[in-house]
Amino acid sequence: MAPLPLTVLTGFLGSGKTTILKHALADPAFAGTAVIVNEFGAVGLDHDLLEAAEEDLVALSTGCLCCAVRGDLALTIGNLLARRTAGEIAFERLVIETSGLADPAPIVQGLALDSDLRGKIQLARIVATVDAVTGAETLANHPEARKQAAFADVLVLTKSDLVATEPAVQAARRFNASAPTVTTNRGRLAPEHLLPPATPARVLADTLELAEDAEAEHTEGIATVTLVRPEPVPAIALTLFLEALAEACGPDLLRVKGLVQIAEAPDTPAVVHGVQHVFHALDWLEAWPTDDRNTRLVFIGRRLMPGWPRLLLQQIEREVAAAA
Amino acid sequence: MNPAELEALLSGLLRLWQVEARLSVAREGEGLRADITKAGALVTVEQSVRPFGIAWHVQAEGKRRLAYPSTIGMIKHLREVLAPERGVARVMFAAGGA
Repeated sequence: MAPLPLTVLTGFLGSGKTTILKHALADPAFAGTAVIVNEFGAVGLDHDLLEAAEEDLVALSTGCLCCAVRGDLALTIGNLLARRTAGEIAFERLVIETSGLADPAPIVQGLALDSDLRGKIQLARIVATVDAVTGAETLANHPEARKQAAFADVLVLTKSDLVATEPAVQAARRFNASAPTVTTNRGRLAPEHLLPPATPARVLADTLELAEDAEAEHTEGIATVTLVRPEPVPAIALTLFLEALAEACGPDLLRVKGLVQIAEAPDTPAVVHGVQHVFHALDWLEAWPTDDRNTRLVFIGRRLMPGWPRLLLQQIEREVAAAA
Repeated sequence: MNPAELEALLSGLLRLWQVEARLSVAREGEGLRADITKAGALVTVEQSVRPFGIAWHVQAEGKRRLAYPSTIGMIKHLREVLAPERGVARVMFAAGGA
């Protein structure tokens, strides 16, 4: 059975996550979606704002997912999957709304490495909301918000009916230059941004915006560095490269994502998707999405120097070639 | 690898680790040698091509000179010498899961 796609909806306090979910749950396109709402505090409120259609599921986890209750989240998902297997409920995808102060990295890592969930769910995307009114200030003052933006595959600008979005877009782009930005319409987000299609890897391929090989933007230590190259990468060199990156960058490597032309299988691009030092098993597309067959990788991390990942990969390729 | 590439590779590491150090790189025989001086202590990094492949040697002042067959080994040793307080993050691959 194919793993269920999982969307992580994150964003700072009051940035409109629950409003998006509220509208989504009323949308027929959202049927067949299990939603897990994480609220931080003894008394949850957000779930009272959500009205689920009968075929939808809303589970509640109270406490901060990224700190104390990662096991609780895995257990909640495990219970939902068990009920699905037993035929009690039916759903085809999962959405987790994190609390406004959550760090998405340990949530994704915890689920990726949970032995009971192995092969049953697959991260499709991380969606981060940015408040068009207060987003720039929030990003300047709150490291949690910066990390949420940095990890996102899609940045959603909310409250765009109130003010111009450009200042918040610019602020968010300083921490994540590769994620596309979309806007909500009075709290409504087009379903395709929240609902992953059947092939999560394709989502990544479609959302990976890399026009050129020119490299980085540095702001407050977080840099986005891109690597685009036509030469195929031997599979063993890619593995060693990721290990070297983790060794060198440690927890300062926030995201690695992209498509790689593997020398041993040049017609089927490999999808690389990592959150900090945890990488999902390589996924393969059946074919290149466009005529562009270049390897395209995005690295988001602290103090990454432009061109440095390229240099590291080249050196490791030389070692692999010399050893062969 | 040429001297400029080795300098860029090591500069990138020092920046990542927030290490204040003086770095100089030069050719030495058939290979390359980098001197990294941090707080007066010298660490040397050498790279050369041997019959079995590329070899790295790292030596911290007063310590043994150790050989590594890979860049990963060189980076690990350098981090332990220059930035031992930094957290280690071994790469992990999720087996088909999230």
